[in-house]
Amino acid sequence: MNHWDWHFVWRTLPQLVDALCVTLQATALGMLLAATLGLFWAVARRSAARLVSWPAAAVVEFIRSTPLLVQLYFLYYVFPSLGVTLSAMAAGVIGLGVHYSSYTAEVYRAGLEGVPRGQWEAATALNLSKWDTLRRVVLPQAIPPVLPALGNYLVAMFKETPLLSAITVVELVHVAKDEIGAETFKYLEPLTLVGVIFLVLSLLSAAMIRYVEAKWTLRRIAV
Amino acid sequence: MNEQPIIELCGVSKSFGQLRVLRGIDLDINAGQHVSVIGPSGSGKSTLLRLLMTLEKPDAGTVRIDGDYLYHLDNTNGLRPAPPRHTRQVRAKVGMVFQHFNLFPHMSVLRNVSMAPLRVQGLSKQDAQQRAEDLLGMVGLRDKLDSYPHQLSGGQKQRVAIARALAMQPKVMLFDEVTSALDPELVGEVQTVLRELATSTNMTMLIVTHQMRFAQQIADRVVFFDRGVIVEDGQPEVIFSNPRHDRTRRFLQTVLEAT
Amino acid sequence: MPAIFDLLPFLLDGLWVTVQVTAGGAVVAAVAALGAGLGRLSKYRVIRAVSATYAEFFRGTSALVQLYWAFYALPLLVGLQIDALPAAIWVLGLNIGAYGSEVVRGAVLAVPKGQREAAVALSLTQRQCLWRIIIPQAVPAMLPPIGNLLIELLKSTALVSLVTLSDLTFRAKLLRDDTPDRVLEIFCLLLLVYFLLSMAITSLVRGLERYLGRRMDRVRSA
Ligand SMILES: Nc1ncnc2c1ncn2[C@@H]1O[C@H](COP(=O)(O)OP(=O)(O)O)[C@@H](O)[C@H]1O
Ligand SMILES: [Mg+2]
Repeated sequence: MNHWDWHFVWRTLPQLVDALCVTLQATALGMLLAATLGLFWAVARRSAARLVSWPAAAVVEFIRSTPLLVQLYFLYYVFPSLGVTLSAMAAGVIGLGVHYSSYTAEVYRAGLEGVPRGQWEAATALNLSKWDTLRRVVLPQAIPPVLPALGNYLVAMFKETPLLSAITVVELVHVAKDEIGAETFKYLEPLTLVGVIFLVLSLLSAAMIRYVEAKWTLRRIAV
Repeated sequence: MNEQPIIELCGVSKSFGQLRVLRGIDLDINAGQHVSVIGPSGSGKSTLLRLLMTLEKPDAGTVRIDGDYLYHLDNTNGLRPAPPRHTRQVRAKVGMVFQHFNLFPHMSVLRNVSMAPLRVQGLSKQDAQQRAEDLLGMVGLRDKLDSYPHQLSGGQKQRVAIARALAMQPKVMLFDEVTSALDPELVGEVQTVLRELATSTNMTMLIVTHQMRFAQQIADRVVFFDRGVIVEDGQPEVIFSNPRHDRTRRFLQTVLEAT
Repeated sequence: MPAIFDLLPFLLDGLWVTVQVTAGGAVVAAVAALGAGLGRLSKYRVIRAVSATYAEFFRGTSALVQLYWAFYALPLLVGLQIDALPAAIWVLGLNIGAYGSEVVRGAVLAVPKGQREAAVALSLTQRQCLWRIIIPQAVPAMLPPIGNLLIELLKSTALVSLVTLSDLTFRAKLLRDDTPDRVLEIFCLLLLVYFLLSMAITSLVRGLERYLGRRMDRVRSA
């Protein structure tokens, strides 16, 4: 039997806080990538040219159908053999971003489909270029309604950052298990703390998203 | 003079938040009576029926069905709230047909009608199906036993719903605007079924309807509802040709003009 | 490059573990999702609270953290070693089940109110109403999201390679250690196998949707 050791908790907390910074950094950078790349997929999938839309759909489908962990291994272990060596953090961020771009692509797609056809037609009638139509007319209407859904995937991605420990990124789980745990053979406190940190942060962010969403809905009704 | 009413409402009130939908309703209905309930929309007619079906709970007052309190237990020290089981037993004497049919979409017509006798009354499968077939024959749908609700017209759906409610052999049937959701040309077939039911059985019927002519024909008693109270209650001839209250008169005028 | 397929037999030795965890996890998830999804609609506060806590807890912490916790921390707490395979099945199943409870809840709430009222009018008990009226109508709406969750489950089974279970991913890592120069082939093959498994799940669920298709038409248009 092992007893919960508060002294040990306080002693290791600073280490975990440092690791949390790495986790948050990876989440932020990963989301940046996922948000941009996902938009790219969504627009490409709507392209009239089959040569564009079809491969985009296939790639998204493939990314979403295979495990993030394997994709991370691919980036970290296979890419060097192709002459591209990535740091663990870089591989982690790219892996997260690319994997989640397959989810954000769906979100953007829903947003794009929510824009009435008449908007495209009106822009065409004004002789706007396709690019301008997209950028100045369609996207400004398509994106705001789906921001909460994007936010939810941000939280989901945050909860998958522990996978980065498998490619030696020194984030929360790596520190808890492979540094603190492996050194002291005490796993209960660090792993429980990590669980609590994730729980608190994801509950907080979910509540925040709901709050923002409710405010927006109210404002939209008011308009 | 020893006849006990089959439905007795005493001081029944119901509010939704600030809105007082029923304001102290007293109403006795004798077994075998056919009562048309009329009144402007929003006056509380549906709420009254739903209360008898236990789909809503009254805030105050008592309801008795066939002598038994619906929401209360009677003991020597007066009344106390009844457990759900008691309520279930008492309301088994009541059946209801809804404006929007509420047929079970995943069951065939036969299953819709035979399911409750089979599962609730514990009839054998054969007996339940026999009863269902007889009732479906009565409403003119013997050839639709194996159809599914989405394959039926609105009028046919509503006739199935009537058969389904009758299959539980209730003593009281509640009809809440059962023709309001139908295309005009389908209203007749459902009204015909109700008329037959009224003439050929001594079923107690409460019929909420906006079709005044039908209300007059089918009923031996008419209740006019307005803003949660019963304004007028009497024989159809009296209410329709010579109402005592101004509210009733004006309501009938607007409704009859509209049709 | 047909040579790539000589790696396949070794890799596929891990397939059985992957399939076991996926199938076992799916069963755990289905039970948990139904229990917690209906539990959140219960009229008893305690049941609602327990169901919501379960769902929030498993959705709020990360699957890998849960797995490590069950693997490294829990044995210290209870003082006995837990078998890796059942532990993995339970953890991943409960994790996906937490998401599934939302699906169940949503689908049950989407059944029109009139259906419940008709059941009351026919004196059905609450249990009969649930199993004979509500659930049969809710299931068709659940299928597409369930398909997605099954794929999430399959993908999450790769995590069991991190707790010493010899699944597909674990075998791939062993292969990499043996033949580091073939790392590209190994992981391409691995991705392909997972992709095919996902496709299999997708077509299974689609088949089920088609099978229930007639029923769904009924539900939609009645
Ligand atoms: N569940 C409910 N919640 C809030 N208000 C309701 C509810 N049911 C009915 N009401 C309100 O109660 C009033 C009476 O409704 P109802 O009994 O349906 O009238 P009627 O059937 O005579 O048209 C209406 O104003 C209606 O909006
Ligand atoms: Mg009404």
